[in-house]
Amino acid sequence: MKALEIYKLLPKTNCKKCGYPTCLAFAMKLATGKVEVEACPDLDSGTKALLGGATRPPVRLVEVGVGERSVAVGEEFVLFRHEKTFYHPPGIMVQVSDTWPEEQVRSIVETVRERVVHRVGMDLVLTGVAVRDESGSPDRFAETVALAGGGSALPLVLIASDPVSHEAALAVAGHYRPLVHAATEENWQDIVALAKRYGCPLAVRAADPAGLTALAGNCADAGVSDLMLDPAPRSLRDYIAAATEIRKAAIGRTEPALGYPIFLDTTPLGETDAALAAGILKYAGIIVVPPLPSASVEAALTLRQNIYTDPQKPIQVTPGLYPVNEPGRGAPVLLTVNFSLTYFTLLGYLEASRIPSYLFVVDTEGLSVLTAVAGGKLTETLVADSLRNFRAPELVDHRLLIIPGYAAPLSGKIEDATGWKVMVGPRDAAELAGYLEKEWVV
Amino acid sequence: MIAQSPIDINLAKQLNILLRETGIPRDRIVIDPYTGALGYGFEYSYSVMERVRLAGLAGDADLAMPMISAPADTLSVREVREAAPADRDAMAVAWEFYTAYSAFVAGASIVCVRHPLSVKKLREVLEVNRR
Repeated sequence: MKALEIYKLLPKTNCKKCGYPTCLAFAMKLATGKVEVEACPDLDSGTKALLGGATRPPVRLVEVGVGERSVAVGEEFVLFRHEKTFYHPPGIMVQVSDTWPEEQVRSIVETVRERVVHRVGMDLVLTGVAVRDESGSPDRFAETVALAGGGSALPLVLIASDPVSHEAALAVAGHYRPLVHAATEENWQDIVALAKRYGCPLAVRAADPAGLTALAGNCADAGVSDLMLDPAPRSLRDYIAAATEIRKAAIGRTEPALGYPIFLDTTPLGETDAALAAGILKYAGIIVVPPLPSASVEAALTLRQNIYTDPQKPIQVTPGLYPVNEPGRGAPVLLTVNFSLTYFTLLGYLEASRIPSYLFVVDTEGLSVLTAVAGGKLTETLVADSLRNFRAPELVDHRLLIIPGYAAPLSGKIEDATGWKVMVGPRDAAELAGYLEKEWVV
Repeated sequence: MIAQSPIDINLAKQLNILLRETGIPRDRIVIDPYTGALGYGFEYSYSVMERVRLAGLAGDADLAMPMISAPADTLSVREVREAAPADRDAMAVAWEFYTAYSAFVAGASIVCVRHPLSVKKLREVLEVNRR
């Protein structure tokens, strides 16, 4: 429903009891699913039901695990990230089997817990551990679940088809919201009862959309509302097709029983890197992977970060004066903007050039050079204030500032405002090293 | 002919219109929307590729061409450059593979990679998917 259609159904009293200044503001929040209809105290139950059905998130938010490392997935609104953004990055769960030696399980769990990839000021981590019942022994399964931390530190997925195994594992880990996998056509009644007793999220598994719809509907009717959908793909192509169909049905609200996050187990598909990438790109909420080589972890976590970056808000770098290649007092000072892509591109070329310099990053609210100049976000006042604030005059002996080629129209104004002599650099970062070698003599 | 534009669907379309006006038929053009390396702006390229493909499917004849993705910077990113010598090959292949595979998912028909093992790995995945 559009904000204006919602607005027509609201009291239009602007009473502010919902926490928003006007009914229209509340309607706009409702339209984007950012607020519950319950926040308005003056609606009758019929209107609430109507608005609730039309404004609740099309994909339910489901949380796995507890505490700091827990993961919430779902609550997505679009099919393509350029339409708005993707909100909740998928949880990547590394699989261990209850037939593996204790030492191996311990070491994998430790890797998941400790591995951190630092990128663009963010710490990227693997999400949790998936314990798979391959021994057929409920005791063995429960012991391995305990070995994986029982869910107290890292979120867990419990993978078993036998309800007895789940019962044993939940006795150990049930209070830490593990994801129970999976309810199927054959076992769903027993599994649903367990998930309900422990208040755990539950994955349902069926190979065709009709089966998934029926199963999810049954489980929801039986009282478990935190569900995930496992379309049991036979190939990557199969997965992408099924996941797209599920997300389309959810977004279009054509099938309420498909309005849940998607679960992807990559292990039967073989091509782990491709399957993991497909899950990240195409709608997975929880992805189970075998233990991954270090390089795959880094690339996958980076892809996840990239795809879940809000296209409306570019990633920004903290403004400042960044030393590159250990600059001395005669090193050039290079003006640029705090759009992360610009910063990292420049940094890459500068580091590769081995020329010592200072990268002078000013706050253009994440706009690139060209757009910042055109939009008036890069100004001589900003440059002068930033030079002073970052104490540039104390770090170098010269008073020369190299500005980006696209900022050339500002060169005179910057000279007047800063008292520094301005040199206009190239437009393309790739030409910077050549430019410095030729032009920089102090 | 490869028509390259800097990660911008409007410029891609404009370039194709200019090429058409200079007499180059549509069936001789491959769109290169320009691919930033994974972690270095790849998300922009990914979304522009999705948008180009969707526009083409929706009937925009000036964007209804196959796309090429050539993530040429991928092997010079910091993650690959600064990897320990023993890990560098693995990192190079992982970086290229995740970038190139994602470009395929976004709609690219031709993908350029530089590490021979990336070619092998991509070929295996595409074979698997053909079955």
